[in-house]
Amino acid sequence: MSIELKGVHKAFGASKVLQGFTLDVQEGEIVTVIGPSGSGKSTTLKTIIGLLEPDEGEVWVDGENVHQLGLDALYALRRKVGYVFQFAALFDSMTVRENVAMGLRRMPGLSEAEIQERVEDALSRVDLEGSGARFPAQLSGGMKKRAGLARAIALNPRYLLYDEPTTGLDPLTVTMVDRLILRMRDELQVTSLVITHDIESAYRISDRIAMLFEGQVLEVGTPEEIRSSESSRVRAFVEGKPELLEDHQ
Amino acid sequence: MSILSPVAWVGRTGIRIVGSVGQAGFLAAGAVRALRNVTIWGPNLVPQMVAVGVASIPIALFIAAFTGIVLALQASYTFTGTVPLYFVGALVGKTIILELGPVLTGLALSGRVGANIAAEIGTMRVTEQIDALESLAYDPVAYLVVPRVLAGLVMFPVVVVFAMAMGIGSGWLTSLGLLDMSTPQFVRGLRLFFETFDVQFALIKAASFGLIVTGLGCFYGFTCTGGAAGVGRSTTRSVVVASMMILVLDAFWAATLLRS
Amino acid sequence: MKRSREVLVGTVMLIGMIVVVIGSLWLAGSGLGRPSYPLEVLVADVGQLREGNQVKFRGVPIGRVDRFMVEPSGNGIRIHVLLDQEVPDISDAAAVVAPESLFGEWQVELVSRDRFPRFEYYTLSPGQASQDEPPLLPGFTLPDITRLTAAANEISQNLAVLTDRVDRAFNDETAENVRRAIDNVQDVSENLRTLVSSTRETFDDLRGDVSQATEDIGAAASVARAALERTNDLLETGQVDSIVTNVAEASKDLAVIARAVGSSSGEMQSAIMRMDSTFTRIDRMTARIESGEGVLGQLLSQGELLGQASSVLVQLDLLLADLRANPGRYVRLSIF
Ligand SMILES: Nc1ncnc2c1ncn2[C@@H]1O[C@H](COP(=O)(O)OP(=O)(O)O)[C@@H](O)[C@H]1O
Ligand SMILES: [Mg+2]
Repeated sequence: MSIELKGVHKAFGASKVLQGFTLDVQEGEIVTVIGPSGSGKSTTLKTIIGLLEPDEGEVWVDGENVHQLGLDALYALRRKVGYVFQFAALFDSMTVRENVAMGLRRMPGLSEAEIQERVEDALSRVDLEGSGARFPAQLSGGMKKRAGLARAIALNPRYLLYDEPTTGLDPLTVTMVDRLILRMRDELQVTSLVITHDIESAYRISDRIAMLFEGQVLEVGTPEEIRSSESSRVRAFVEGKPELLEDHQ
Repeated sequence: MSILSPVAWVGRTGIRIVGSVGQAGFLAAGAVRALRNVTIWGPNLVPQMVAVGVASIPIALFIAAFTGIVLALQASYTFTGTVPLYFVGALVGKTIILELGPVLTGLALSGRVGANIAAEIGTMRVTEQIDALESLAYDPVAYLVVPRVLAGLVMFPVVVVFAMAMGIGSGWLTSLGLLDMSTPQFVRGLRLFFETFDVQFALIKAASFGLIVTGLGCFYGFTCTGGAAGVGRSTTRSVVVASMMILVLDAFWAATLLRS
Repeated sequence: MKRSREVLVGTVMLIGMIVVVIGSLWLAGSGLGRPSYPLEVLVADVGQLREGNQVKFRGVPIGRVDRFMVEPSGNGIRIHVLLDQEVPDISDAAAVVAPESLFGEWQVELVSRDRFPRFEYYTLSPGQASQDEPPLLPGFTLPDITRLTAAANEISQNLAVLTDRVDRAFNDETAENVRRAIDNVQDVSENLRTLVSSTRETFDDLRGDVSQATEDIGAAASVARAALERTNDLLETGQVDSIVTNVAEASKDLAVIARAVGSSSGEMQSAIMRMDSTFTRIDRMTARIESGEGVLGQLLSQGELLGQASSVLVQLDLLLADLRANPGRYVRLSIF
């Protein structure tokens, strides 16, 4: 079972964000999507769990066509997918602990004690053991990000979608998050789709990397293949050299 | 600017209104469908009843108290000499129960409750908290809209009852203290034109105001876009539209229920 | 925390409900928990009385109207009232349903019948009356002010119609008929004279009782003329009764003459027969007037209209009583 996007198109009014996006993530694989800001990476992730409806194309998750599902089936599918939001999207009326417990409360057959146990486990995985009683407004940006991460992994999902999980974190925490992503794959065989700007971290964690450009996957390959890409656009992005783009033009 | 631009403006506005009505209908249908997800909205109902109802009682009492005072004084000012003074009681009671209790409370709560809901849900929308709810398998309509609207439907009448009691009470105290009337006089006027139906009418109105205020707050919050400025816009619009709808509904109920 | 919130909401809602229920009951004037004493009042019609209106005794509120029940026979309404105290011991008790003041709330006032003896208190016929709990009082409902004005309006309309009819009757129809009849009588008497003069010779030939008869005829003709002149005068003064008697007398006189002359001549007989038919017409007309069949007659025997008016216009009782006693005075006043 896997995640599969087939020729997805999505436009917001006149701006065409996705224009035939095609990508698949095999079971247990970590695929990273890189690309400039505003190129539609977050949009892609949202179409995967049905937060956004693609104008064209299909999205398959866990063997099901996401946008053909009825409401109940869609919510059932979402229970299998963890989503780490770019800006954490913590519920600011609740403590961190309650935030993390939210998803668990929708899991059938979990006792309150089991929920608390899993909340503490998730918090300790992101080094937030001591902050469970705090409200999101009392956290730093990096802590919020980790709390959002904890909320997603607490579900023990089969799929994890990370939207820029390391952006804005200090280098130590970046390493911690990278290791967490790997561990989720290694210990729980989680299938992961990671969006990142951090090319080094992409090299470290990815089985494959996809470069998103102008609404399409420009190139997809192993970290080595991307590193040695022929495409000047890919090289400009991964090496951070805009002049390569100018050469190309 | 061509001479057609006003026409285009009318067209644009018309399209926007129809679009909004359609979206609102969609949300309403979603809310009705979400009623079956009791496990999602159930736990939120009581907190919302506190936020929408109990917490609104002080402002409602404050408004009603002054309304009662003013009504009593103005009635006596108008009646002096021609109409017996006990009509003050009739005017205070009838006006508070039929009109000012529900409508002033509704208007105040459209500011307090409607704005609060629009701002809260709007913020949740622009900070992706609503997306987060969906990703955690919560139907956001069931989780956010249903408990608020139900709380409005149930608690607005309760708040209005408190307001009516307060308004009549303050009118009575004013009549005693400032108008040289006696309690039996005031009560006589109060009872003279009282109909049990008046109270039912007021409660029906209050429930409909609760529905419209909370429903519009949810609608404008849900459809909010554009960051903090967008939240501000949604909040304002929610209050303005809810206030207008309260007055329209008021007229509607008067036309349908009071005409014999 | 969660529990205390539930308690808070529950408390507020309960207080709200209690305020609504108790407040409504209090404002509606229901004496919750207090004992109440039922009483029933029988009336033909309840006017503007409504449920919840007060019941008073000597001006003191002692209860409220509970509900209305239509008598199964269709004869009247039973007003069920609840008193806050025992039914007062009133001798020959009755109830008056009336507005408190001219434009005030309606109420039921318990009275002794001799306080307002003229009111027609409504009672069931003895066969229908049931000796029952609660006590049943005869009641009288004063006419509503709006119905009073409506009735007054109706009466004035009736009077207008009558005036119109009487006007037309006198000016166009009746008066014309009477006038024409009188003209005819004159014609006839003219004819009679011509006849008499033209047949003088014949009469001269016939001696004895025949000449006597001729003189009789002349006398009769002058009597007839005088009678008709009298009739004319009387008509002008409008004294219908004397018209009637005089015309009748005149016709009787003439009939006597006709009979007397009738045996004497065949030619005369036909003339007299013509005359006879004229008188018959006058006779018929006066008979109609006397029997109250014509318009004029209706006017003079308009008790029905007055009766109808009096049933509604209780507050104009005296006026109507006088009207009934002297209808002519009032009717003429407004008509002529
Ligand atoms: N709900 C929305 N309404 C309108 N435009 C949107 C919306 N969401 C995203 N966009 C636009 O789509 C483009 C892609 O956004 P996004 O997917 O968030 O980019 P990124 O790759 O940085 O995550 C941006 O230009 C953004 O302005
Ligand atoms: Mg993004």
